[in-house]
Order: sequence, then structure tokens, then C-alpha cells
Amino acid sequence: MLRILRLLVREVFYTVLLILGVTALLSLLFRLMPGTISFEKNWLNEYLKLLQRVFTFNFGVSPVSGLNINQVVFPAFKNTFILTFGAILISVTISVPIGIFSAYRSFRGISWPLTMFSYIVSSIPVFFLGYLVIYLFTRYSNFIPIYSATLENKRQLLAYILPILVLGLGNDSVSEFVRIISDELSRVMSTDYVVASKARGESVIRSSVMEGILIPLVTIIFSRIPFLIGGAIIVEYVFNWPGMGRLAFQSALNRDLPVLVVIAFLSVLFVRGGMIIKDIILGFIIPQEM
Amino acid sequence: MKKRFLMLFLLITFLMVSVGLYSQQNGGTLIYGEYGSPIRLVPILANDSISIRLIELIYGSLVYYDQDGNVKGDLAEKWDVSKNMKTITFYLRKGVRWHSLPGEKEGRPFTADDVIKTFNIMMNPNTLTSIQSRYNFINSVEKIDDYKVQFKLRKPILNVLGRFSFKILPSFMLKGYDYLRGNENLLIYKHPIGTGPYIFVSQEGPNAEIILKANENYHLGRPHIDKIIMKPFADQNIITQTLLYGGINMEIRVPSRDIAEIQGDMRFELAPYSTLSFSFFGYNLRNPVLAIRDVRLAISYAINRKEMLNSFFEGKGQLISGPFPPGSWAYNLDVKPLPYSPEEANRLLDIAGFTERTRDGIRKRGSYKLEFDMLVPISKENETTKRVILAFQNYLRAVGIKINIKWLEWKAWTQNVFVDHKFDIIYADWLFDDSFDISSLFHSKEIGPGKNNFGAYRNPEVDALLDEAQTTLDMEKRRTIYKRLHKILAYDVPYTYLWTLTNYAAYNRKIRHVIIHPTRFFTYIKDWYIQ
Amino acid sequence: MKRFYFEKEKLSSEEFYVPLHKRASVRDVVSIGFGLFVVTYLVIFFLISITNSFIKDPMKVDIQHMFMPPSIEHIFGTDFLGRDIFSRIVKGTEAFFLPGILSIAISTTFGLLFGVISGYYSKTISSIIFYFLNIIDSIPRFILILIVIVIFNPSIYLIMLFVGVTSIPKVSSYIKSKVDTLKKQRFIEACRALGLSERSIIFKHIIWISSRSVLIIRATLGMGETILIETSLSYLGIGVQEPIPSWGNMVAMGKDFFFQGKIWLSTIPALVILITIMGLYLLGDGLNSIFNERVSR
Repeated sequence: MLRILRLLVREVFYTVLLILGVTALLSLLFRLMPGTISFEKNWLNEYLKLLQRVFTFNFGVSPVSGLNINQVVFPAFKNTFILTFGAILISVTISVPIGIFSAYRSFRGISWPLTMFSYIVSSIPVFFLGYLVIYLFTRYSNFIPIYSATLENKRQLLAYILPILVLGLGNDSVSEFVRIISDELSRVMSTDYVVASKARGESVIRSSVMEGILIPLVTIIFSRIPFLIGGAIIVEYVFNWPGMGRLAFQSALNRDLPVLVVIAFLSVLFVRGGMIIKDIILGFIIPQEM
Repeated sequence: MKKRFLMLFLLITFLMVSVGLYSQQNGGTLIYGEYGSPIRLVPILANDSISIRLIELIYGSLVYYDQDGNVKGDLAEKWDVSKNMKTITFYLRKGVRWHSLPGEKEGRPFTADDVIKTFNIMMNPNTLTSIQSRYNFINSVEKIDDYKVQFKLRKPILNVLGRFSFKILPSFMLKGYDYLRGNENLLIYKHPIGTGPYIFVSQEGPNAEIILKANENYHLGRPHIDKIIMKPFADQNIITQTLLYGGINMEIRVPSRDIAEIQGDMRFELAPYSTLSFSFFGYNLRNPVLAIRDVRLAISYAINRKEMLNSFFEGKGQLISGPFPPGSWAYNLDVKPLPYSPEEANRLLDIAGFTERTRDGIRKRGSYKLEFDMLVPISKENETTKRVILAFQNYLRAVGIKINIKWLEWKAWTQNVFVDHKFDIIYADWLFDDSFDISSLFHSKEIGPGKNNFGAYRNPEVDALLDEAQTTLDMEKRRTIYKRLHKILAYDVPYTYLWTLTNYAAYNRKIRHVIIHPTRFFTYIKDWYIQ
Repeated sequence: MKRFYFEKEKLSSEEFYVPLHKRASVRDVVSIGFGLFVVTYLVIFFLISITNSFIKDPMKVDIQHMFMPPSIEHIFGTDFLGRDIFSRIVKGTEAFFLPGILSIAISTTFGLLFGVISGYYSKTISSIIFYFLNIIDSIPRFILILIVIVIFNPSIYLIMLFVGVTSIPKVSSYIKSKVDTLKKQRFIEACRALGLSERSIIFKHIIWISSRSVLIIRATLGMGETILIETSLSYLGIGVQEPIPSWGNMVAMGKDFFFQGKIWLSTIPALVILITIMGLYLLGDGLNSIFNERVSR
């Protein structure tokens, strides 16, 4: 327990350091933008001011678009978080069985076409997949709606399905997970330890195999978060989903750098937060000292 | 005994039917889909059609035109025009209340102060709007008492009453402001308050839906439809699909390729309306090459407008030869649209001296190349705009002119075209009201940052004719002047006039008594009802 | 049972064998074969496109022949302006080919540099380098791209330069781990003992050994990434603009006609993107599994 705590402290400390660095970078970029009204003559002052805003989570109003940043970005962040979380769930749910199949049977049977199919769907460019899905679902039925603010709650829940599905299936997540799982699984399975276990008739799946794949799986899940945020930009655009990605894109069109910077900052938090959680989980799983 | 019973029965039936009819008529929600979002929900500053339609629902004006073209009173009950036609007194309607502010139970009363304040802001030179030229004929306005205002005009104007259809703003929300530029931190920008048939309820974010509810105390009679929701769509294709499966019940502007699909569907009505607008390519005459009339004329000959209209818009529109919609009284039918003739274009360019060619085949004369920057706004893009522009580029390439297309987002585009004048050619539409006052487009005093004569077109004869048209009281004389203007403006080619399009709105047949105003769309909304 | 020429688990101190390759499985052969096919057509298309030969004019507008379905004359049909889709697909390779190479060059060069330096030198230097790399790594790539677009209004080359920069952290950490492995194997001491006293020679050897496998794999993955980013940006409207063809803006323009049944305008470029990216990734995977590395993208 103490070990975990020490780990946590170390990670958080590192993250705070990173935040300082990221903020420095972002405020530098801010300065570079031609035409920005620089409030402070000194870059240092501006950096400190930004830092203060960052740590109090109060970002004020954007001078470019007049939007109250807090009001707009935080709900958007929540929506993107839901999207990302759901997408990860879907990716994992689909790829784990496929990965296991693929490792066990390697080339024969149903696993290879299935693996290939998952690869293909994964590699369809997300913007096309999203549009295809919209086309299929709006033309032939209106059972599953596209997001809009005035839907009744029950229907609104249904509207969550499509974007999460698209983000989870596309964006290359599934193919990468499947690959990692099947690679690791076959590697673990072929080590002497496991072969010996099998010979002894023990159930292989539980013990070391699970452990063997869990580590890389957890690692890769959390390291996919930055990609998912990037993919979310496109998915949210296609589905008109009110998340951070769509907001980022609109801000880019409006040349609204302050909002973009805040979004970048929140994404960094999201990513690093994921890393911390990952390290904690790994800390629980890996029995020996790291 | 039987007779009395029968009478009672009839009476009850009659009552039930009328109650039934009445309740059938009141209620329901109109959900309409637009391609894009409104830019600003405030009159005077708004100049995009989506905002204008919403403003029509929320705000009121002194007078308005009914379907038959008669002037009717909205916020004004009656009016007096003096014998010399230079003074107009409006008697304002008493008991009209502004929509209530969020948190307040009752709205403030509408008074003459609101009219005065609106007029002063509108005419203040610091206000960022281009509509001032329409009201220059008004010298001053004076408050006689809380319900009486008097306008003094510089000179008598034909059909002057109809000019007072500008929307009135609430003075109590604009305390301390003498002009508006759109970047102030005002509540009215986020929560519009008006005197119109519908009250603004909410809008969750800049691209979210807008919800309006019926104004129970509307002074011209409560509108039948209870609620109106405006749904903005980021993707034009989805609007028609959403209409078909019932997600919305009205589509403001059906893209031409979807018309056939809706026509075949018995559940929907397709209503054509012309918006008194026309499309054109506009030239910046500050560019010395574009200042040569033969060059502009050559460009007009080089493009095949009929082919574009037929292929991209399914032929649903008409070619025009001048800056007016063909159905209007101002259009001169004797001036014919230019035919498609690349040969004539080449001939004109040769005459203008652009006979040398660069290695890529672009014409040049000394150091002047026939290469132009065309600016297009990204946020207004749709597939037909793109197709027109790309086809334009292609037609011109065939006669040796190179077009560089620059896609800019809306704010940057407006800045470049109307303020900085950093462009050569644009593709746009103008939307008119019934007076077809084109002076803001072509008069030389309308050249300058923020004004509509973005191309710096100057012709003293046109200036004189425009001034005369503004002041003449004789309808026939005005018609003659406009016909002459049409001829000159066709000859001078400050724009290449393209076409006017027939717009189609589609709506579910359950919505009845739908009459669409050509420019403002919802003017007659209070008579619409849902079965 | 797969045979390995070099097993990672057994680190015998005598063996400094550099991993060569293992016996390729059928899966690997198929992957690599498909990948090579993709690379071939990419290169061919690119060469055709810059020399402007063999194909119809991709910009030629022919309104009378809009929306023609695929036929002998137009292999992929024509688009909404009558332009030949196949020639536009070929021309579309120009949009990402050179920028992709730029991105790969940047990520490999600097990735190698930082990786080797941080592996070779002390822990403090390594931590400092990785601190800066982690700053870049933490911001999702697309958001950084949007920020760069707002500030610099860049050409696609500049954008890909930044994309290359964002890939440096991963390459560096991978290289560093390889150098660490070599360190564990006392490789460096051995070199010194053999009399290779100059640091540069040691660098050369280290770089050579650690980079061999990375280069090819990074090239394929990097090009795949570039294509994905360029097409996504062009789809959103902030990448390559009309009338210059890009697979992304072809999908975007084509989608408006989907509902009318003219699906090939959008689907064909999307399929091409799909096949190309899949091919590149499969190539990377196949090579990866042959060299028995575990590279994270």
C-alpha cells in the first residue's frame, strides 16, 4: 500500500512539473501568434498569469470570441470524456476475444478472417466510417437518433451509441489492441513456464496468461488516449457531438487561440491522469518491486 | 320537448366543434432546420438570412406589409403624414409589453423611448451596419410624448410608410450605449428581448438549437403554434433526411437535388418562394487590370451561366442581366443576359492588349498578368458554391485567365472584402427588400470600410440617377429611372450578373395556412397552425 | 515452434549477437507482400503525378459528363464537375508523399539523436531530455496541429514537420531502451576494450545497431500516419484545398452526393485510403514481427 502511495506521489509531482512545462510552451506559442493583444510586456508575467489561471481553473473570457471559457469548455470536456471512455470499452470488448482467438488458433479457423475484418474496419478512415454510419442509420430508420439537444432523455441516451461505436471501432484502436493481445499471448504461451503448466494440466488462462496480457493491454489502453482525443475531433465533427473536439475545431476556424490553449491543457490533464491511473493499476498487478 | 332537446344537442355539438377547432388550431411545435447557425440575433447588426428569420419572430416594427402589399400597423396604431409629406407622426400602440427578462415576471412597457433609442443607434456612424443608407432620407426624430413620435424627412419619399419596417430594440437593455459594434458585453446579444409573436427561451451554446415560445400577450393576436425550435445543421444533406423521418417538420431551403425526393412524398408540401436576391461575381475595380471594362466583359462572356444553372441548380432559377430579380418592377426586360461565347471573350482580351502568354498559358500584357485572387467564405460553403467556383475557374482557364481560390472563414472574409478591400473577385448574393434600393451597392459615396460598394465602382451618371430615384414620388418616373440604371449597370459590368434562384421550402402537411414572406420568411407566422 | 536467432530473454554475456531475423510465418509474408504492393503503387502514382504523364488531366472540368459511374474510359468514374476520379487519386499522392518523407526524416533523425544521447549519458541528462519530450508527448497530436494552424497558417509541409516533431518522443524512448539493452550487455565496454576509443566510433556503432530495424518500420508507420493526418485535415477543410486533389477533400466533397446514390465519389477515395494505410501498417507489422521487436506506434 505504501508502495502505491509513494508511486502516486511521484507521479503527481512529475505531472505538476509537466504542467508547468506545458503551460510555458503554450504561453510561448500564444505570444508567437501575430495580432494577439499581449496583456503583459514581459513573457514571464504572462506565463505567471496563465499559471495562475491554470491552477485556479478559472479561465475567464476569450478576447477573440467573447465566450466564457469555463462555461463552454467544461461541459464539452465532460462529453468528450464520456465518448472516449465508451470508445475504450467498446474497443477492449471487441478486441480481447478476437485477440485471444487469434493467438490460440493462429492461422486456422474462424479467427483469421475475423482478425482481418477487425483490421479492415479499424483502418477505415474515421470520417468516412462516421458518415457511412450516419447515412445507414438516417436513411433506413430513425430508431437511433443523431445527437440534438431537444431529444427526450431516453432517446438522447440512444444518441450516444453511434459516435461511441464509431470512435471505438475506427481509429485503428481495435487492430492495435488485437495485435498486441495476440502477440503477447502467443509469446507468453510459448514460454517454458506456461508450457510446463499446460503439461501439468493446470488451467493456463487464469494465472500467468492473464497477467501476461494484462500488463501490455493496460499500458496500451492508456497510451491510446491521446489518439482517441484526436480521433474524437473528427467523430464529433461528423456527428455534431458537443464535445471538446468539435469545440477545438470551431475554435481553430475562428482563430480563437485562448480556447484552444485551454482545451490543450485539459487534454494534457486527461492524458497524464490516465498515465497515473495506469501506473497505479500496474502497481497493483505487478507483484514485484518496480 | 323533442325540439328543445334537438336544439340543446345542436348547441352542445356546435360548442364542442368550435372548442375542438380552436384547440386544434392552438398548439403544436414547429421545428425547422437551417443549414448553419445564426451569427447575431440583434437587429441592425444582423445581416445573414438565418438571423434575419429569427429576428422576424422575436422583434416587432412600427409597421409591416401584409400579404396583399398593404401597410399595416404593428407597434404603431395609426399615423399622420403631413401635407408636404415631410413629417410623419406615429401614434404608438398602448399596452404593448416587451418580453420579460429571465427572472422577471412581467415585461416592461413599450414606449416612444424605444423608438428614439433604436433610431439613434441605427444612424450613429459608429454602429457597424450597412443599412444606414436606407434611412438617410430621415432628418430627425422627436418624442412628442410617451406614445407619440414624429419623424422629419429631408424630402418627400415615395411609399415612405413601408420604409418604417425596421425592428425596434428595447432601450432599457441598451442604457449608456449610443452605438453598437457587436463586441459589447450586452445581455441582449445572448438573450434577445423583443415585442414580436415569439419569445426567446434558450440557446445552450453558439451552435445549439434555439427555442422560442408563443407570446401569449402578442398585441396582434396570440400565434397558434405554441413553440418554435430552430435546429442548426452542420451538414446540409442531413436536413432533408431529418425532415423525411420526422426529426424536423420544416426545411427552410431545400437543396435542388433533394426536390425530386420530397415532391414524390405525399406527407410534405413543397413551397416555392423567391427571395428577391441574386447571385453575382463581384470585381474590385481598384485592381488596374480589372478596371478595364473589356476584361470584365470578357470574363462575363467566358462563362457558361446556363450550363451552371442547369447542372448545379437543376435549372430552378433564371439568368439575369442586371442587379434586379427578373420578376420585379425594376427589371428591364429589354436588356438581355449575355450569351456564352469564349470566342468573344478571347477577342475582347486581345483588344485589351493581353496577347502575350506566360509559360502556363496565362495572358499578360507587359508585367500585368490576368491572374486574380478569388476569396470565398468557408462557413458558407456548400457543394453548389464550390461547384460554381470551380467551374468558373475552369471556364476562365480556357481563355487564359488564372484564378487563385482563397478559402477564408467568415469573419476574415468579411474583413478582407468589406474593410481591407484585399481581393480581386468574389462570389456572393445580395438580398433585397421591396424597394430595390441599390444605391448602397453602386453609389460612389458608399465606397469605404464597412460599406456595400466594396468594388469602388464610380459612375457620376449612376450617382445622379440613384439620387433622383430616391427622391422622386412618381412611380412611373422611378420605373423609368431604374430601367435606365439597369442598362448602364449591365454595360459597365461592375458585377457579372449570374442568376436568381427559386427557393423551395418543404414542410409537413400538418402545418397549415403557411404563407412565406419572400425575404423575411416568417412575417405571417401568427396565422400558421398545426393540425 | 518458432526458431529465434536471438532470444531476448536470455542475455548471455558472450553473445553480442545483434538480432537479425526470425523465420517468417505465412502471416508475415502475406503482410509484407501486401505492404510492398501498396508501397509500389504509391511510388508509381507519385512519379506519374509529378511528371504529369500517362493520366488524364485531373483538373479538367467537363460539366456535360458529370457523375459518370466507373467505366472503361474513366476507370473510377467522374465527379461532380466531370473530372476523372482516377487521375485525381493519382494526383492526390502529391499531397502527402514529400511531406510524409519530411516527417519521417525529422522523427528518425531527432529521435535517434535524443535516444542515443539519453541512453549513452547519465541519468540526469536523460531525465531532462525526456522531460521535454514528455511535454510534447502529452498534448494530443491533433490538438497541437490545430494550434499550429491557428498561429502559423502553415503549408502542409510545415504541418508535417510538426507531426514529425510529435513523433520524436516515441522514437527516442524506443532507441533509448535499445541502447540500454546494449549497455546491459556491456557492449560499450567491449567496444572500448577493443580499442575503439573515439566516442564517435562508439556512437556510430550504437546508432547503426539500434537504428537498423527502426528506420524501415518508422518509415512505414510514419507514412501511414502522414496519410491519415493529411486526409483528415483535408476532409475537415483545413488541409489541401480544392481544386487541388487530396484523397481527404475528395471524400468530403463526395459525401454530399451519397444520398442520391452516387456513392463512388466518396467511397473510392475512402477505399484507397483504407487499402494504403492498411498496407503500410501491415508492412510495418510484418517487418516488426520478423525483427521481433515490440514497437508501439
